[in-house]
Amino acid sequence: MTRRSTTAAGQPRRVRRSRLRRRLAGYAVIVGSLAGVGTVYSFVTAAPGVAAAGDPTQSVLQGKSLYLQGCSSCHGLAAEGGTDGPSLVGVGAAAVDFQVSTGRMPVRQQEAEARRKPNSYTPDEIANLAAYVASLGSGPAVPADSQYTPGSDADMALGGTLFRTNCSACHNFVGAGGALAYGKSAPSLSKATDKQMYEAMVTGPGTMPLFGDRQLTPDQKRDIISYVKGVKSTPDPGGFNLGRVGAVPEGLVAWLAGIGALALFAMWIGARARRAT
Amino acid sequence: MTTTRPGPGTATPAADANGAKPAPKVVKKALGEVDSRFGTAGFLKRNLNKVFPDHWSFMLGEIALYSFVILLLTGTFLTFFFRPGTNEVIYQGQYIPLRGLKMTEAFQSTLRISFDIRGGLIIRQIHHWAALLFMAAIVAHCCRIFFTGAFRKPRETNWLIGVGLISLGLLEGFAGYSLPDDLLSGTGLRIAYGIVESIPVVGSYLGSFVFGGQFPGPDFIPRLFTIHILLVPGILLALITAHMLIMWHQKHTQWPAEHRTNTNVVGAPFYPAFMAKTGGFFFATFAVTAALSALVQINPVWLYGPYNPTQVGAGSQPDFYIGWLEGSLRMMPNFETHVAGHTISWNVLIPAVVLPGVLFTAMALYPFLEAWVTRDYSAHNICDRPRNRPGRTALGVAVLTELGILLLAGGNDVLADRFEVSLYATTWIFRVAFIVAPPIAFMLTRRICLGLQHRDAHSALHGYETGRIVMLADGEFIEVESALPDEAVARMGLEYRQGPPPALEPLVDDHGVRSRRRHNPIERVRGRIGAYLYEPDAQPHTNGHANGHADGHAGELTEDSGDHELNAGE
Amino acid sequence: MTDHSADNPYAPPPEDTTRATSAGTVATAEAHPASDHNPVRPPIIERITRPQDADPRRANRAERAIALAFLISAAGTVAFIVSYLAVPSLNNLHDVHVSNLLLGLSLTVSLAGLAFGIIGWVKWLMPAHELVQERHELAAADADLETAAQVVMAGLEETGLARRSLLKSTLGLALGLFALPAVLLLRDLGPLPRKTLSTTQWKAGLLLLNAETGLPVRLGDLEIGSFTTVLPAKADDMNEEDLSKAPVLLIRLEPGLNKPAAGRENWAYQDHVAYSKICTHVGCPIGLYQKQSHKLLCPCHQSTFDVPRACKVVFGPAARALPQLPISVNSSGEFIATASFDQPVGPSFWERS
Repeated sequence: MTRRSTTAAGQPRRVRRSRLRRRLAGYAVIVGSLAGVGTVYSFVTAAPGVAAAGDPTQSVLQGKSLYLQGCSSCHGLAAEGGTDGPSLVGVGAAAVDFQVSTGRMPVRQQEAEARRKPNSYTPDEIANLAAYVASLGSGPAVPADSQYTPGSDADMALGGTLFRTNCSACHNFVGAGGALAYGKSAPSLSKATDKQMYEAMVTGPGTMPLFGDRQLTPDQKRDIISYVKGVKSTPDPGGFNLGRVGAVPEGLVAWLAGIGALALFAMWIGARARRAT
Repeated sequence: MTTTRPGPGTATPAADANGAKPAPKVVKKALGEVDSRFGTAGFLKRNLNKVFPDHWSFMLGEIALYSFVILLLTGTFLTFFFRPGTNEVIYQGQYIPLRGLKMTEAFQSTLRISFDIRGGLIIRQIHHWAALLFMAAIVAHCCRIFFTGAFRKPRETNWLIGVGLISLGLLEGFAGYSLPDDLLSGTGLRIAYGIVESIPVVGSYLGSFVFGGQFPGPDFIPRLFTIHILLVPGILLALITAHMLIMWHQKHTQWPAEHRTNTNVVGAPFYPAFMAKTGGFFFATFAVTAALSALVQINPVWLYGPYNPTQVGAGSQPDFYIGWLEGSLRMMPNFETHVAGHTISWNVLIPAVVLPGVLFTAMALYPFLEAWVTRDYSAHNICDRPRNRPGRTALGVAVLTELGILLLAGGNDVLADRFEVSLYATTWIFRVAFIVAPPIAFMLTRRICLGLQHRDAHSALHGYETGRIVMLADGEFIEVESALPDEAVARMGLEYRQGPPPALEPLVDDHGVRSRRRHNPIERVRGRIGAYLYEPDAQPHTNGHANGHADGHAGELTEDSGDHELNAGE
Repeated sequence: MTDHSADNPYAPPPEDTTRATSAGTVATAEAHPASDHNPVRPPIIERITRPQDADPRRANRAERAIALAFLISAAGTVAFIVSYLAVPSLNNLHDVHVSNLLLGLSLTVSLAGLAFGIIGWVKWLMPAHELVQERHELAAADADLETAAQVVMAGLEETGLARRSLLKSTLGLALGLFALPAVLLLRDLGPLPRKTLSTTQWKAGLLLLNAETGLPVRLGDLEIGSFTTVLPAKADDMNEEDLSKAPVLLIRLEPGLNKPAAGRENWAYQDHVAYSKICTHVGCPIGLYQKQSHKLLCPCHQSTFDVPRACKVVFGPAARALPQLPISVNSSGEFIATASFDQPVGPSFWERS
C-alpha cells in the first residue's frame, strides 16, 4: 500500500506520528508512575493481617486500622457506639471472632438482626480485630481449641438434655432454627463450627441469652457441642428428612404427594375407555 | 334363543332357560354347599351383578378405607413390640445421642422398633404415613360428598356416620402419635390437659379422671394405648362396616349424564370389574404409602428426645389434622373472665372446645338444615355439579377457607421462619383473615358458580363457537356455532340446578286471613336464607334449551351435528 | 313426601324418556338386544368397543403388558425377601437406613406391579360396556307400611304398656338407674384434684437447684442477660407431676431494669428475678428468653411475657402474667426461695380466682 506524505486532513504525516508518540508517552509515564508509587507503597505499608509472631501490639494496631476502615462508621471511632451500633468496649475478643467469622459483621444493611453470610475478613484479620477490641476493655477471650473441641469423653446424651432445656426452645429440637418475636430468628446451627457455638454460648450474640462458664461449665458446653455435631452427622434412617422441622412439611407431603398421586391414579382408573375407530 | 359369546375360539353350547350358558357342575356344587347352609344363592345372584357408577371422585373414600386396612395390619405388627409403660429405663441402644439417658419404656420400645427390629422402621413409617393419608382422604371424601349433595335423603345417616368417623379418626391419630412419649407429642398432651382444665365447673375433675391425676399421671400412656388399639378401632370398624353396608344397600350416587336418571344406576358390575378396580386401588394406596415410607422420614422421635416436662422445642406442631385446632389456639386473643372467685378461660375454651364442637355439630345437622331451607324432602340419587348449587358450594368453600386459615396459622412460626416474615405479623394477618376471608370466599365462589352455570346454559342453547366465519348475503359477518352433542349437554345436569325459591303461601290470603306460618319469625329466617342462596333467573326443570333467549338470534346460522336437533329461539 | 310435587322444584325431574340419544334409540332400562350380551347380567345401555375389543392382537398385547406388571410385582416381592435376609442385624443407623430404603422400595414395586396389572386388566381386557340397573324404591308400598305399623301396635298392645302406667314408670326407673353404677365405676379413674392444681413443691427456704446438675445456683453464676432453669429438688428425686409444675426460670436483668409490682419489691435479688416456667395459657414450658427485649416467648402459641414488668402478657393468647417466685440469697451465697408461689402456676381453671 502506498504511503502518502500527507493525511487526508492535509497535515503532514510526520507531525501526526510524533503527536501520537507524545500522547502514548504521556500515558506510559502516568501508568509507570502509578505502578511505581503502588509498588513503593506496598513495600512501605505492612500487608494487612501479617503481624509478627509474638507481637501483640502490632496485632492491636493492625486491628485498629481495620476497625477504623470497616467498623467505625457504625460503632464509633473509639468503639464508643452510636445510633447504628452498640459500644464494643468490654465486649471481648470472642464476640468479635464470632460476629466477624460468621459474616454477621459488617452488616449489609440495618435490619432487625444481623444474619450469617460469607465473611469478609481472613482469619488473621479477624484475630487482629479481636485483639484490638479486647484491648479496649476486658471481656471473654477467644476460646482455645481444647475448650471448644469435644473430646472422646464428651457426654452426648447429657449434651442433648442440656440442649433441650436451654437451647431447643429457640433453635428447635436439633438446631434447625426457629422464629422469634420482633423480626428476629434463632438461626439454624447447620453451618456453625464448634468454636462459633462455644463463642455464641459465652457471648450471647444479638438477642440470644448468655451462658457463662459458671452457669454452663466448659465441660457442659462441650457436651452440648458434641450433641449438636452428633445429631448433625446422624443419618436419617427413614429417608429424606424434610428439614427436620416436624409435622408441617409432613402434612404437606401427605396431601400433595400422597393424595395427589392417588387422585391421579383414580383418574386413570375412571378414565373414559378409548373407542376403537 | 341362542346367545353367542365374544372372544376367539369359544364354542357355543346350548343355552338353558335363562338364555345363558349352563354353569359347570363343580361351581354349582360349591355354591350349593354354601347355599344349603346359609341361603346365599339369591344374595349372590343379585349382588354379584350390582352396578357401580364409575368416576374417580368416588374413589376418595376408598383411599380412606384401604388406609384403614393398612393401619390395622401395620398396627398389629407394632403392638407385638411396643410397650406402653411409663416406668423409667436407661437407654443402652445404638442411637448414640440418647445413650445413657433415662426415658420411659414407651419411648425406648419405639426406638427399639425403629432401630433394632428388621422391618420395624418401615412398618412404623407406613403406619404413620397411612394415618396421615387416612385423615386426608376422609377430608377429601367429605368434601366430595358435601359439594355433590350426596348427603341428602336417603343418605343422611351415612353422613352422620361419616361425621362420627372424622371425629374418631382425629382422636385415634392424636392418641397414636402420643404413644411414643416423645418431647413433641408430650407437649401436645400437656396442651390437651390444659384445654380440659379450662372447661368450667368440671374441668379440673375431668382432667384428673382422664389422665389419672395431675399431668402427666402414671396412667396416661397405658390408657392411650387401650383407646388406640382397642376402643376406637373397634368403634371405627363397626362404623365403617355400617357405612359400607348402607352405601351398598342404597346404591351409589352418580353424576348426571346420558342414560342416567334418579331411578337407575349405570356403570360396571361389581363382579368382576368393580372388585378388580377397587382391589387394584387397594394395591395402589398401599404402594403410595410404601413409597412415602421408603423415601421420606416421618415422626423421627429420636430427634425430639424423650418427654421431659421442663423442656420444649421450637416449631412444635401436631399432625395436620389437629393443626387447625393448634392454629385457633394461637390466634385467639387473650380473653379471660374472673367472676366470683372463678375463672373462665375464653382464650382456651373458645378455640379448643367451642370451635370444634360448633363445627362438628353444624356438620352433623347440615343435611337437615339444608332440606329445611330448600324445602326439599325428596330422595336424590344424582350428584349435583357444584356449580349448579351456588349457595351450598359457596358455603363449603367459605368453611374450607376458614379451616385452611386455621391450619396455616397452626404453623405460623414455621412460616415466619421460612419466609422471613415477622412472627407477630403472621398472627395478625391470620386473625384478620379469619374474619375477612370467608365472606369474600363465599361471595367470590357464588359468583363463579353462577357464571359457570350461565356459560353452561349458553353453550347448551347456542352451541360452541367453531371459529368459522361466514359472510351473509347482506354483508354481515357471523360466526358459525355448532350444537353440543347431547351427551355433553346431559352431563351439564341443567335440570338439577338450584332454581328460584318455591312458591310460598301468600302473607294474606284471599279472605284477608294472615298466614300463621309466614309470620312466624323462624319461617321468616328460613325464607331469608333461602332467598339469598337461590339464583333467581334459572329455571329448575328445563332441559336447557328454552331459557327465553328467543330475541336476537333469529338470523343466526347454527350447525347441526348428527341427528341432534337444536332450534334457535325455541 | 311425594317425589314430584309441583311445589318442590328440587325434586328430581320426571324420567325424560323422550330425549334423543346419540344412537337414536330410546334411553330406557329395557334390555338392549345384542348378540354378545349375557342375559344373566344387567342390560347394556351403552356398548363400548375399545381397540382391544376390535383387534385380538391388541388384546394379547395388553395381556402381555399386564403379565409383565405381575412379573415385576413378583420380582419386587422376591427383592423384599432378599433385602430382609441380606441384613442379618442392624448395627448402626446407616444399616437401618439401607434396610428401610430397600424394604420400602421393593414393597412399593411389588404393590405397584399388582396395582397397574389389575387395573390394566380391567381397563383393557374386561368388557367396558355400561350396564344399567333399576334402583328399587326403598320405601315399601303403602299397604306394607300400614301392616308394619299395625304389627308394631299389636306388639305394644300385647305388652300392655299403654294401660299399665305403673309398669312403665317402674321399668323406666329400673333401667334408667343402670346409668349410675356405670358412671360411678369411673370414680377411681383418678383422684379428686383438691388443692393439687394450686400448689407446687416450692416452699420458703428451699434452694434453687440447677435442673440438670442438681447443684445450687450461687450469686454470680449468672451473667447479665443469662437465664437458667431451676427446681426445688434434684430432678431424680421429684415425680413427674411435680416436675410439670415446679420448673422456675431464674433471669438476671440489667441493673435497674426490673420494675417490681407493688408489694413485690423484695421478691427480686440484685436484678435476679424468678418466674414460673410453665406458661399460663395451656402449660408448655417456656424456655425462650429474648435478651435484648427482655421478653419470654412461649414457643407453643407465642404468648409473650415482659420480664421487667412482672412478666405481664404483651402478646399472644395467654391471659395471666407468669407467677413470680420470691427469692433471696442465703449466707452461703446460694439462691433460695423466700416463700412459695402466691398463686397457682400453669393454665387457668375454674376454681382459680
